Amino acid sequence: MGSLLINLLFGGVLEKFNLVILGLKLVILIFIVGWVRVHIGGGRWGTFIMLLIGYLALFKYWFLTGPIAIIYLLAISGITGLAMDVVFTRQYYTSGKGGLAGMEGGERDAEYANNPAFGAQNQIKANAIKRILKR
Amino acid sequence: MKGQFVFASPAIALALLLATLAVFILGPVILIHMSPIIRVIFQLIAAVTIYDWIKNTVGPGILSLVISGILIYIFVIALPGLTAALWATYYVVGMGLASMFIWGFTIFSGKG
Repeated sequence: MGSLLINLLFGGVLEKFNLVILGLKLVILIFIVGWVRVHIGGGRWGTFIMLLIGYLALFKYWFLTGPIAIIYLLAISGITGLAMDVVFTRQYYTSGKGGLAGMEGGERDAEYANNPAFGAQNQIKANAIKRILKR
Repeated sequence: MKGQFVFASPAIALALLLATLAVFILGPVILIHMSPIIRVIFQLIAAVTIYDWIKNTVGPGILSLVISGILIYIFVIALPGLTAALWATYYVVGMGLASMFIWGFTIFSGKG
């Protein structure tokens, strides 16, 4: 049922999966060409290095570069920021205090101020700053 | 916000969040399936974008025409639905809309 829905929505993507992989390889080839042209240039050496990196990345070590490329494409499109948002908002539900850090910060600051461990750490930091300023 | 529940429970907030994201991401896919005009406009924009990106990266010439031709066949002619979904996801995530929805639905869930 799920695969049928995916096929209906995305135009038979599961049957044309090899085509998607070919497209992904071409996109990575474009990234490689762009990187070599910027850093080395488009001359004889550049073409040789493009072909070498292209062969290694797209054929010989594709089992390694394929997943890395997918993670890279997800990272540059901002999925990592989304994951961070999910983590921080989970903190909102699991902290038991009913607030994000800073939103109801008065209670949190008071808790830190009353904690002797935090007080001692802050005193150490303050003394270090004073010493630096005296120099 | 303390003590108030805009949504009845975090599960409802999560369901609404997923529904909103689904509308933003699957909306363009359903639109291009329903309307041939929108489909052609999307294909034109996608083809020009792909060709422009490859021309800027590889440089003008036969190679860029060949590579962009293959990519346009794969992503614009063969799989326009997938391209529309990926494009919508890229914009929804990249422009911070998804983060806005996540934070919004969480904060308005109002645990406390």
